[in-house]
Amino acid sequence: MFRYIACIISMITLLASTNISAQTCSCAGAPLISSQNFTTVSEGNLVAGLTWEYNNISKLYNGSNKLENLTQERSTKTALLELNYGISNRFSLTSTFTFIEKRRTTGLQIQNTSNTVTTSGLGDGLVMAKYHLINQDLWNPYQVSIGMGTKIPFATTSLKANNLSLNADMQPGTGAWDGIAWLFASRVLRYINMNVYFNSSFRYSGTSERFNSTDKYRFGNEFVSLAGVTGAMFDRLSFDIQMKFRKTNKDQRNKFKLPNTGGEWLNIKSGIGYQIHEQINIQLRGEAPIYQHLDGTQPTTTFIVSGSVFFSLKKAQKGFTYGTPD
Amino acid sequence: MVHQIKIVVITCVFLFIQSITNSLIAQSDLGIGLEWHEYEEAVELAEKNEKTIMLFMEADWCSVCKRMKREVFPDKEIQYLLNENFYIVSIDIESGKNMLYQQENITQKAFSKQMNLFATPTFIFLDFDETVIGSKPGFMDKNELKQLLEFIYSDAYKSKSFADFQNNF
Repeated sequence: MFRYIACIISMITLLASTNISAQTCSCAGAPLISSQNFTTVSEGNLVAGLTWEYNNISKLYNGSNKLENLTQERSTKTALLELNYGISNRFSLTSTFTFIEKRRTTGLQIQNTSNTVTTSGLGDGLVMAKYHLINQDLWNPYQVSIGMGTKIPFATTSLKANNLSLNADMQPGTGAWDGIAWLFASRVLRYINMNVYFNSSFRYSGTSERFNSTDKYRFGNEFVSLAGVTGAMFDRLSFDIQMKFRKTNKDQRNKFKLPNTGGEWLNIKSGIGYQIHEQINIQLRGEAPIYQHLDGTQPTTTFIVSGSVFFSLKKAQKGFTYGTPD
Repeated sequence: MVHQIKIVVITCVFLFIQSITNSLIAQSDLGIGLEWHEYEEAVELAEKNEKTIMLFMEADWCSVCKRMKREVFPDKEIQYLLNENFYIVSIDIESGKNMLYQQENITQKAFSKQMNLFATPTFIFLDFDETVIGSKPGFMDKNELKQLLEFIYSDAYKSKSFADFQNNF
């Protein structure tokens, strides 16, 4: 089975590394693929998650070097509604809808010249089908799931400020249909009440025509891979620690690779969860980069905080079963 | 950098607390006031007194099992119902400890697999001749467990479903 898992991981990693042609500063569009939760939803069950995320982008980097002459600050607030429904114990469907607000303040170097632009609106959505190759249960500690999906460009890409069109990374949407590949593997370590997991996602970006058919913009492909551990504390508390690697390639405008877009980030992400009720779980998470290497000079994430509430609408657990269960 | 160090320290503290709490919970969990039996002893007593055996199928790592022991089992009425009408046995679904089930010497883990468990805790009820009456998985609050216990010991299970019994409870 390890060979099987290693084979899938290698294929996705290879696919990602051969053609990563990426996304501008870490704030273009809604954080769709990195926000997917890993819940396995069995037949007839529905898990609905509502997440609010704040991404503070107030550092300036050139390559791996932090620059002090910050001229602009950005932030992104995103609300995500994620719905997971189990069609069978092997097959589930996920859809994510977003609302996004972006804020950019420029002119920080010169006193009294700062200017803030805020955009907001419905963000892009995501639909994904997940297939659970191996389902974790009482007697099997492993879970392996794969998924394929598409990002749907619900959101506008033509917002203006002072009658001037805003940059692509200030628009709520990316305007393109993207393809998504997803992989999740985990192993429960029951003796220490923890679950170790690995997740990889790859987004193949489509091209959008922003203003007319001659202006084609393509955000770079994105690869996100993370490894983490989650465990229970007391009965209702849980913790989660992840290392997240994200790589995006340069954006392209009319097939011309744009400078100062794309890069690599290694973040540490940690959170706690609390089971308020049998069917309701809340989670708080914090995330900060520990390493980044950006193409050219870009503003980049200082920290991300998020809060989520998950509602689990499960079919009633089996009632009283006569005789030995089947 | 200081910010990142803080995060790492906080996560380490979480892990530390987690390991401590796990061991503390493990030491202080059993439903005190209940008369727990070894399986063979329960079979012998059940046969002699024609009572039912209740198996509480649990695991060391099962936090829901511990919650039931802490929040549900201490209830006086439940303790009375269990001690008066059942012989109760705790089965660790991962244990290599042997038990004599229907004259066959098997481990508690093998027995659990034979019972096709898919969740912990699971309550299994055996007649005094070790025939499986039935089972119910998952957490139950005090009220639901009382209903289940009465459903079994009153023999209502012989004439109606648990759902019907609950509707008329």
